Amino acid sequence: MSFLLQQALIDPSAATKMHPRQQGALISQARNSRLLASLAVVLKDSGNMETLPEKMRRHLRSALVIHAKQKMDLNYETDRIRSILRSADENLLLLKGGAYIQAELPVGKGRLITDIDILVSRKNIENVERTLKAAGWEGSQIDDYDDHYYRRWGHEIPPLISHRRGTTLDVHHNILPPTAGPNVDACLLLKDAIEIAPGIFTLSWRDMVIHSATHLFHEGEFHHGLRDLWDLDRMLRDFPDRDPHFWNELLERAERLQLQVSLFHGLNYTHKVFGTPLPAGLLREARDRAQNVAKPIVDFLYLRAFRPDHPDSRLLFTGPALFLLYVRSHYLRMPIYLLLPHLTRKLWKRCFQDDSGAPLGLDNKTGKTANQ
Amino acid sequence: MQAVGNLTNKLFHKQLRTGSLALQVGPYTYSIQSDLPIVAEGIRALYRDFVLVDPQNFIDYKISIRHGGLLQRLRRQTQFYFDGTRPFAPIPIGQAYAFLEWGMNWCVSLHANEYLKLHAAVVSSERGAIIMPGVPGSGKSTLCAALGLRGWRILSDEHAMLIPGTVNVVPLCRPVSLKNESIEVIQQFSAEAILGPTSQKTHKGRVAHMKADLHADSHNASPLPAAWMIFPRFCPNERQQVTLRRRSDSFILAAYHSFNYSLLCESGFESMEKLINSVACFDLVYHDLNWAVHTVNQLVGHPDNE
Amino acid sequence: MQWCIKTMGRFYDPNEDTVIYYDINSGDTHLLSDFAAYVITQFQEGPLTAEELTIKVSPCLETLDFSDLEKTIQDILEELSALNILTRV
Repeated sequence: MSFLLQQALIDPSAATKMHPRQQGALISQARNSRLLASLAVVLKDSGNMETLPEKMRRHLRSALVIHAKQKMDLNYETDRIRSILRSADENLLLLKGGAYIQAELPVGKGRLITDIDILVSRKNIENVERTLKAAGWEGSQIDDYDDHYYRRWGHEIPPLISHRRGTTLDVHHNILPPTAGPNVDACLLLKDAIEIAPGIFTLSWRDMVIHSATHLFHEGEFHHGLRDLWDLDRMLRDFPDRDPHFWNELLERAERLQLQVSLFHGLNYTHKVFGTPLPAGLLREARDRAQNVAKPIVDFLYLRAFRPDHPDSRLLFTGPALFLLYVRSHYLRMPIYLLLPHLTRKLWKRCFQDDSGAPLGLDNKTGKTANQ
Repeated sequence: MQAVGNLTNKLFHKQLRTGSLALQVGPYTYSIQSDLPIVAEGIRALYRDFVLVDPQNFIDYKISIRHGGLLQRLRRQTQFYFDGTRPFAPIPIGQAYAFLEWGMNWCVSLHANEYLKLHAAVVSSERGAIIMPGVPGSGKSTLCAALGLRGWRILSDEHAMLIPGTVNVVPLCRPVSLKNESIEVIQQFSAEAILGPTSQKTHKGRVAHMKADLHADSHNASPLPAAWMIFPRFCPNERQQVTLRRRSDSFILAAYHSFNYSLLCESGFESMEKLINSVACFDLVYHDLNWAVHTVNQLVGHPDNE
Repeated sequence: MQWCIKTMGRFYDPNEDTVIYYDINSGDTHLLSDFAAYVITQFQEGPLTAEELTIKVSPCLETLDFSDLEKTIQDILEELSALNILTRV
């Protein structure tokens, strides 16, 4: 069963044939999945943009405006962070959206980002944090519990914020927390990094794919599930052209990083949802290398999580399925004894804030700061 | 074209409950769904002259205010939904109407970037439109409501939407939000003010909305050129006066009051430059509404209507 | 030490004593004194030292009272660099 956004991303001309009500729902699904600018790029590149009604085009253009601004800010911040890190004897290695955009990859076209993620070596992370703070990046206001949680169990330090410009920087020392299960050797990632501009690095193409797949299945943010899957699709269609040996060593590399399970899921669901072309036999080999996977219950959960969280595309049980996945991804990240205290704590805080009654979030979200 | 007021009570409630109530608001189509009587009452009072749209058409913003579940129902709370997501924390049922209006603003504030958007009230007469930027509490809404009640056409209480590279403002006429004492001030100012439900104890205090489409052209969607920018400031202790404001200061202040000036990058700069170069900018300090309306009329050469 | 500008931004000068400067590199908008704006325009052709800059701008300052021009220039350069409008090379 397919949904509008999936149809339009796979075959952009489908968007031009939709009923106006469906076109409205398509915009809404894309906006909700943080894929509106990506959809705009797909429609533009395929020459379908001009045949769409103006009512629809203006939403797509609005999203491209946001993307263009993010790209500009990213470029500016990257430059500044690079020189700050240089004084801390560290290279700037961008992860996720920031990397896709700065490396000018197809996956970065229209990709919206919420913060800048970087990877630094673990032994230097305290030095990096000190140097960034001295240069004006401030620690975010989180309570001691969260701070402790980040530092003790996380793979990153609490987010840093540049208050003047409102940018958030996530400094990681690994792509997965130490409690996740797979024990990723971050040194391998750093060693294979690619220099895309003087002093600016990204993960290698293979590692980028593996990280994206990992992110998809280990982080508790399933509302971005479809967006992450679209990232994978874009990369898997692009990287084989950049490196003729891309497919050959992908599975070995994942195994070396102990991430073959995530990679299998990533390949499998990208192929299922977006029809991403894969070499013959690859999926089977990936499955063989990944042990303990592909139980029917897992399939049931994932296919629901990858739909936009939108009433028009919602299957029965999406709500509970999302919750179960949230628990599951926490389970993947932490030994079980840690799982419950953290979740209850989150739940408790949420209830507590609700009880005060005041919808405090509104001002921030309406206000100018959100856009500037 | 059918307006909300033409619907029978029964049909109106059915459409609102099932989410098939779609309204044309300036350039946008909203569909609104709610099962709360206070929301129905407010829409019935303040949107009765708004044009209905076939819900099978393209909908820009699909919103809903309803209970999120049993627990919320028991707590007498409700929830705002947009695109099926819940961007805000739950709210007490008594504030649902104010929240519907804020939510409708929020859709435009956050998403529409085809215009340079200033957080401003906009009114117009045949001599041109006035943009009145202001932070909450500046008295821009009160002044906007008062001008509307004295013959000016209200284009918006919240968003001045400028077509980039022009001084033309796209009308987005929706009810004017009045806070605290402003509610009584406006009721005393004119017996013709039609107010919707009052929401108590919101984060902005007591809030009620005034029907804003009082002009024959209120639902005309054609853009209108701006000729003035007035920065109103309600201040009970200061001398009432209107003074010319320097252009460079006005530029910065207008940019500060913009939802997306910085998002638009260079095109935002160009649009703002065009605007500031083309309009006359003033500061207006006031505490007496009659004085303020008279002063604005004089400033632009518009006759005082009683 | 030399100072430079990456890409010249946009000015809005309404003939008051302040000028709006839109920095194309950062996307920031600044309200500057007209003299600071004039200083920025001097970097159009390339990097300058504080001394070179002083020589470039002094002809237009004959009628103005700058008791300590070098100090003023140095302060403006520091401020513009703190705002990331100019960078040291």
